[in-house]
Amino acid sequence: MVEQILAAIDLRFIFLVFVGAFAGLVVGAMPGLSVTMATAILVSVTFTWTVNDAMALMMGVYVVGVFSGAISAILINIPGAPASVATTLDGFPMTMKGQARKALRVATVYSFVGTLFGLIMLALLAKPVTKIALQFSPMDYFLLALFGLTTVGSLTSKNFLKGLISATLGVIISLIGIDPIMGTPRFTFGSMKLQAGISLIAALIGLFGFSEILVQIGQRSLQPIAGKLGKEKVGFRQLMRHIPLSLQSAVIGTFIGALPGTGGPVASLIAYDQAKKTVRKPEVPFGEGAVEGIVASESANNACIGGALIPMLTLAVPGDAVTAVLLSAMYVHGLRPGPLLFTQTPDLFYVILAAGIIGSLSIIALGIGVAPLMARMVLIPKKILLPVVAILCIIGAYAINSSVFDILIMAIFGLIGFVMRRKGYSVAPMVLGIVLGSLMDANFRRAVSLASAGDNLIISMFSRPISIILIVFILISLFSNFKFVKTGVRKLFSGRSDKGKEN
Amino acid sequence: MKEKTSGGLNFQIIEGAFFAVIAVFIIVVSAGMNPYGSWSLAPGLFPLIMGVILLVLAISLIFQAVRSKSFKSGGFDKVDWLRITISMALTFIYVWLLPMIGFIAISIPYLASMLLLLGEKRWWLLGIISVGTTLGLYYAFGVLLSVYLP
Repeated sequence: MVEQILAAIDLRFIFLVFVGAFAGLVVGAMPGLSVTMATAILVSVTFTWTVNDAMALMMGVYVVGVFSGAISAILINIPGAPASVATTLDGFPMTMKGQARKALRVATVYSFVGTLFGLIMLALLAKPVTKIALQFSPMDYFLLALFGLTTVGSLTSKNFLKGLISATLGVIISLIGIDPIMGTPRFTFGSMKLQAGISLIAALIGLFGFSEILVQIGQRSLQPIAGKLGKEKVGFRQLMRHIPLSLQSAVIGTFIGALPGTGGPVASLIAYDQAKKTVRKPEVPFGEGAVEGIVASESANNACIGGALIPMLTLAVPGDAVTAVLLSAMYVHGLRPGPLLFTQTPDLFYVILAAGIIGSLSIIALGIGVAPLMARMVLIPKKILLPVVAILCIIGAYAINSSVFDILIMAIFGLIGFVMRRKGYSVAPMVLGIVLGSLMDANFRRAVSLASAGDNLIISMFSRPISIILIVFILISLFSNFKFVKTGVRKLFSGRSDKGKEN
Repeated sequence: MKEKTSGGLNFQIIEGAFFAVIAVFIIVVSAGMNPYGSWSLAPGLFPLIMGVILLVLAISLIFQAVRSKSFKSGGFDKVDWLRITISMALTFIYVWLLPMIGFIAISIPYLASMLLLLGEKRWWLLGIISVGTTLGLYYAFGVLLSVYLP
């Protein structure tokens, strides 16, 4: 396999991946410019190129674009991509403490580790993982999404109930527009513009970007500087300490990435939640600038790349939005992704792996070399930075569909996000709800429809082993947030440790 | 730090009531979305379930507030509402005027107004930032990325 990967690499190939990587760095770091959008534009630019050249460029954008979402997440609390939502939770608090440079370094190294892990898994486990994913029924997909939503409840700082309300509202918002199964308009109230639904990117920019601007503008005294770059050096040993957590998160990322329709946001949030549960003594508490939070989020969302490519290459089922675009690019080039790809054009698999590996090395080069230069934006006074970010939010919302209506949506969600933040409701669960809502709706209704043919609706829907495992996970996730369960577990463990001391 | 009281009202109860009203609205609208008689694939099925879940959560929020007995303020202390209102108004005006007068013509005054609102008084800096940012973004999006800008 190594020989076949090396055979795909030459100077031109490396150059094209690096050009794509640089574009990915800029696009991913700018709120509103999505990697999906950039890849889609590249399909139209590269369709006359050779397949290898086109894949080199697009994989460069994909790999580094996912990483660079962390840059704006860390520096200005606006995730460059939905997959970086969990990175804001600790990344921005680190910036506020003057540790932006350290946060960027950690994000760079663990994005590299995550990407490489995902690609190794792609190379080794493509077929076995796909077999498991193939066994997922519509109900399992629904339960998986529900599990994702319940985990974000625990990500909200204090009140689990408020987190669940935020997630539920997000799901309801995602249902606005034409119903994908029956084609019936829902909650559009006669508006033609609402029939296409609420633009996810516009809502994301509003909830994270514009609401942050409003929060800052609303402060009676504007602090001169949002945060400090800091000069704190991170040693090799200090960085490598988090490798076990990174691998744990990368496993989650690869697996979630391999499940079609889920992708980076779910993977990073689940990995973050797991990190909260497994890391007993973080350097500082999660949500207040814990390095472990960035390690978990960035390892998982980058590992998703390898994971998402598994079903795309072996089944022609995209794992996320970018792989959906890559899939269409393959069709444009006359290729047939799926089981036939390995027999008809086996070299392409190694070309993609080679581009991914060079892309992951570009993360290190660009993350260490260029990202700190971007970090200088935190030194700009707020009274100058905020209006510039505001116009970036506006143009970012507009650029998705060249729609003025999307700017309006962004501004309204900005106001909603501002009120939510002020009232102690985290906006992250709402975003995840908007992302997963339509997936949950379609799969739930398919599951009900399939089960209604059986004798017992409930047994037909929930009796499969995968469904039962997922239900157990959901219940654990829900109950572990109840006060009496938390107190009980704490008492149980303190009782044990007391006994241990006595012995 | 103790939470301030605000007229003796527990805002969490108001929030719960607000979400309960939204939930009832969702339930009522969804219940009417069953044009084919069968609920298994009805467009209203999932929204109906989400409406019920929201109602349960809203009632739980009210119960939580009643049980906690702490009267919380609205969380809006020390907010400069004038600035928030003006910036939202400027943004809505931007949305309204953008298709009529174009990106460059509306973005320059928008940026200048926002900078003024936040206390930047150096006119040369106002000019450089508002014109420079607008033209830079126009070039990046309109020219390099081929995004159509009005």
